[in-house]
Amino acid sequence: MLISCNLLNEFIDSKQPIDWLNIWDKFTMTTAEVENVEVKGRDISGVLVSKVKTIEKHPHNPNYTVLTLNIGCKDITVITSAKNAYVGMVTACCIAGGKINGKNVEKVEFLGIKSEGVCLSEKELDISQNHDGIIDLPKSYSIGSNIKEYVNLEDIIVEIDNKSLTNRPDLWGHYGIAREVVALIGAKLKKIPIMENDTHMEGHKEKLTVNVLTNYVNRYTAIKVSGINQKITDINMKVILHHCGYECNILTELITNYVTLELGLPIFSLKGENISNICIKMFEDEESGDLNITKDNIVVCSNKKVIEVAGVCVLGDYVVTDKCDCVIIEIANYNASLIRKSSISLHNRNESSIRHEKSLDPEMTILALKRCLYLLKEKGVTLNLDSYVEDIYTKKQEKNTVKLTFKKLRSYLGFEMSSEVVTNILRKLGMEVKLEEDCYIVTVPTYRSTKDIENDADIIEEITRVYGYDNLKPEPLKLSLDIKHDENSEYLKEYDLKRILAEKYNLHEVNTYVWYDDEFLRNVGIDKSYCEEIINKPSNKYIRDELGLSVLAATIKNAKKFSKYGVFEIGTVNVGKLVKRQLSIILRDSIKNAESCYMEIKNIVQGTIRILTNHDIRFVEDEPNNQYMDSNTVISIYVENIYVGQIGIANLSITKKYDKTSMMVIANIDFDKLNEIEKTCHNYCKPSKYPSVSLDYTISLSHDEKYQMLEEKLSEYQSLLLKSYECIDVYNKEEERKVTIRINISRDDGTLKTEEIKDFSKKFVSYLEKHFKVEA
Amino acid sequence: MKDELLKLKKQFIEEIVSVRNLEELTLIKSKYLGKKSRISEIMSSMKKLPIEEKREVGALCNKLKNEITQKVKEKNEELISKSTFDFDLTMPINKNRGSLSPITIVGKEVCDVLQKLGFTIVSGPEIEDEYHNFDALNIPSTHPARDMQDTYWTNSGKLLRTHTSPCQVRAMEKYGAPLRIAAPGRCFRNEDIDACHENTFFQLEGMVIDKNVSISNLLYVMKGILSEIFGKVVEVRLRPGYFPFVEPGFELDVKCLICNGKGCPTCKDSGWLELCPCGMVHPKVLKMSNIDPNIYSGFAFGIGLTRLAMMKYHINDIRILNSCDLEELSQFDIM
Ligand SMILES: [Zn+2]
Repeated sequence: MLISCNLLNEFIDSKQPIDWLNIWDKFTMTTAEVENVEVKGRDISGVLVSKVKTIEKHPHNPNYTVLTLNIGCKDITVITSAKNAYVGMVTACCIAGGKINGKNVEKVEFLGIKSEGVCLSEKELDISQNHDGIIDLPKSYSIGSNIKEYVNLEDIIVEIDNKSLTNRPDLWGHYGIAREVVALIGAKLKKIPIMENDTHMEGHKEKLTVNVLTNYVNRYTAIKVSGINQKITDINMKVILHHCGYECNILTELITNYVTLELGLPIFSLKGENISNICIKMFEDEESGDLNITKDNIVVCSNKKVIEVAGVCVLGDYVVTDKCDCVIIEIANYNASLIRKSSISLHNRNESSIRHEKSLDPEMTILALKRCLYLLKEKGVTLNLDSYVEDIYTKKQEKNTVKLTFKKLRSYLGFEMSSEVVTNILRKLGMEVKLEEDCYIVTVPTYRSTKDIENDADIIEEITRVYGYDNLKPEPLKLSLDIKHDENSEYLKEYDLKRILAEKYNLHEVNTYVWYDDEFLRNVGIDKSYCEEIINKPSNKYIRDELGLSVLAATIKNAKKFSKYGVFEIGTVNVGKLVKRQLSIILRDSIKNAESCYMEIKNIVQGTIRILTNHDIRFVEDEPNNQYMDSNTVISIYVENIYVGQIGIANLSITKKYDKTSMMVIANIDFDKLNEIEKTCHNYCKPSKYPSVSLDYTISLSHDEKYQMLEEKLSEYQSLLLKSYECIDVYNKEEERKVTIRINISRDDGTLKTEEIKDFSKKFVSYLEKHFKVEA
Repeated sequence: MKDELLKLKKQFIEEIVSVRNLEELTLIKSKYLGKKSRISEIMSSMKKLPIEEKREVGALCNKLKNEITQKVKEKNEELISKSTFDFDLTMPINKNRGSLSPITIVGKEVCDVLQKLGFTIVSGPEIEDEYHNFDALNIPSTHPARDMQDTYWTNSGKLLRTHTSPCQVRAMEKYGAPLRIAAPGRCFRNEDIDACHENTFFQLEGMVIDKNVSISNLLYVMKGILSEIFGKVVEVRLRPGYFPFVEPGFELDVKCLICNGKGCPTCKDSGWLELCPCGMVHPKVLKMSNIDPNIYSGFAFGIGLTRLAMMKYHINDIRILNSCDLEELSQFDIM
């Protein structure tokens, strides 16, 4: 929101001139964030009120005119491209030696004619956006005087962060800001002049009736006036409005917007000729033009026609134009959240609806209306009041009363603050304070009672911010030692794992988005439209139900820059109604290294799971449970017979699109499941004191026979002597593989006898031979 | 013969010096000491010599044999101790190293600091319900934050959490008071992405609830935490800030770490950097999670981990963090 210090000055009674530049720092520290302070008009000088005496076409360029201007003491020649000059016009000219927007103006020769100054548009003077021609000033201005004697070009414009005003409905107008400033610097707030209840207020000719048919209207105040179609403008009001972001072309707009700036309330004006009754209600079936108004919109109607979506916009036929002579000025106070919803549903959040959303003080509507009338009259408009002031006040705004105990205040502050300081601060802010035995009873003014101040914490905020947060000294916190949180943080577990993956296995962590990338899905031909969907995201809206695909996309992204690398992520997925954490690891290498790469990821998976659970894992050949793994390459991972994930190579049909010679092997692990598995502690087991014997057997496996089959048979073999086995050598030969296994046998109660060893070996070989080809 | 023996000795010494492995040594050994060696031949041909000469040559032969045996033995020991390993010790090793996301690194640093101060690190789901993300934090149903413009809503009525603050609520529900928790995690806002804005970012939420916790305590703890994080004593100040779940609410600024308060482009010449929103936990928030605001009070704060990571590593484009681009990300190592 933009604030004009000139306008603030009108409301503040101060003996010394106010040092505005310094006040805004204090304002930021105690009230709301000032984002920008801009000094206006100081870079304009030497601009004189001038009168056009003669106008001639430029002899060498018909697009320009040569003006003779009277600047009081003398006449000067000025060339301009403006088309709106006329003899007798009073305008503004920056004469040579002056400055406009920081640039020096000098005498220049243009096609043989000397120009001794520059005539200025309203835009160049920063009075409005109008750049159509040079400014047409009132004839009453004295020729030759500095324009700054009439027009307040100099101002300080301050931008306050709207967000930091969210909870301060009272600060949406200059009057409210002035009230806050006065409390901070200890000056006096002036009363704002309004039209008093005199005979002028008593309209009679044509009555306006107002009916309120919904509970969402807190107050509705309106009047019908005529005689408004007059060419009266007030250039200084216009400047302030322009500096604060408003452009106004007609009188009603000028006045109502100005009062909005002053008091913060949105004000609507409606074309009044044909309206004699108004009804405010929830929309039903009234005529509403082509707006998509629904029964959730609150509307202002007349004769079964919608004339306004309450607080949001006036319908086309009822918008006041420069031809209107009769208008209804309307200031209402609606339920804030209803207006918010209404404006959002119509995609029309605007200055008015945004102000309505803030829960403004309904006490202000009548004041604002009388202020409009006062200003109209003051500007010389001969007004006819066609109606009474209609004022329907259904929900009276009460002043909140809050009890603040001394104990509570002391606890929040960490020290004792004297009641004198407390009451002084609160009274400066317009609150009434009553001291009781152990507490303050604070009565809050209506403008801060709508939602801002409701409880003791709110009052404490008022006291501390005005006291100054800088005056609070850091105080060590005495912590209770009886806090016992048993949380074994997932976050820290995840960190430990990430660290191992990066440090031990040289993998890189990536952060992918929690939603799938549409383009990637399309490219790889995978449909995820069954997934949970973000309803207000136009693209990439499906929330992932597994992590691997996202990490695969991330891996592919790097395929052009690197040849061999590994990435991982621990991230959130949404499976059905469950929010889960998963770990995905992907290694990328050339196709010829597929086997070693695959074994490497198995090794990584085993390593990480061991660190987390201390359990050994089991791999079992399986079918993929996703759409992107090559079904011949998938193994499932089990810990203690609990399925925790899969490893597989991404379909080459997917990865080849991006990169022909390499492959990517993926491990997907359910991190939640791993977390559920209790970390074991292996018991100490005394090694046998009798020597063990190791026996090597070489088994020849055909192409279709997997090591997994051999392992299964080995684990099924029943013998008390068999202690362990391991694969010690693999020799690949065209059609077959020779796998050498080392078996360790021993007895717990004595040394093995040669006979026993022979016997074991014989039985063992015959067992193996039932299933495999055993070499000598 | 004597001359020949001297010549043999000289020859042997030359040869044994150049022996590189055990095989060569075996060859030399058999060449000089074997049955078919020249020394053996000389010894067997000695019989024909007169007795005086025989004795002299015999002594010489034996001496030489002993010398050779000794030398071979020495050489053998030398070769064995030297082993047969013979490869280029200066070959390069794999210099690859992995990397962690800067967010992970910074998050851990902050968690370490907080754990030292007795905070428990907790987590919460990224896909949240309306109650924990809004209602329980005193964010009314009409609050702008709930708009489609700010929050991602899912078709089952859930939402992607807009802050880590719902972790406060979950912790209060789980542990009650007193409480001291920190919750790092990923958050989402419906925002267009550019160099300064991301729809996915990381925060850390902190909360302390106890008897008689004051604003001055908040100042002390925040100053301590931030000084630890930045590795030097930082100056902090509070400004009013509005967040529905705290009252009073503050924006906490630190004195600009770059210009030390003198004013520079980073702090927009103000000398201060806006760093973390914080405040005293709103009594309604305590009440909603069954903590009595008449007995307990507390404060909460949010630290932008994404922002912190960008500050630490001088990253000027937020998009890098979620880019998955290893050229960028592999620079961050592990610490
Ligand atoms: Zn700075």
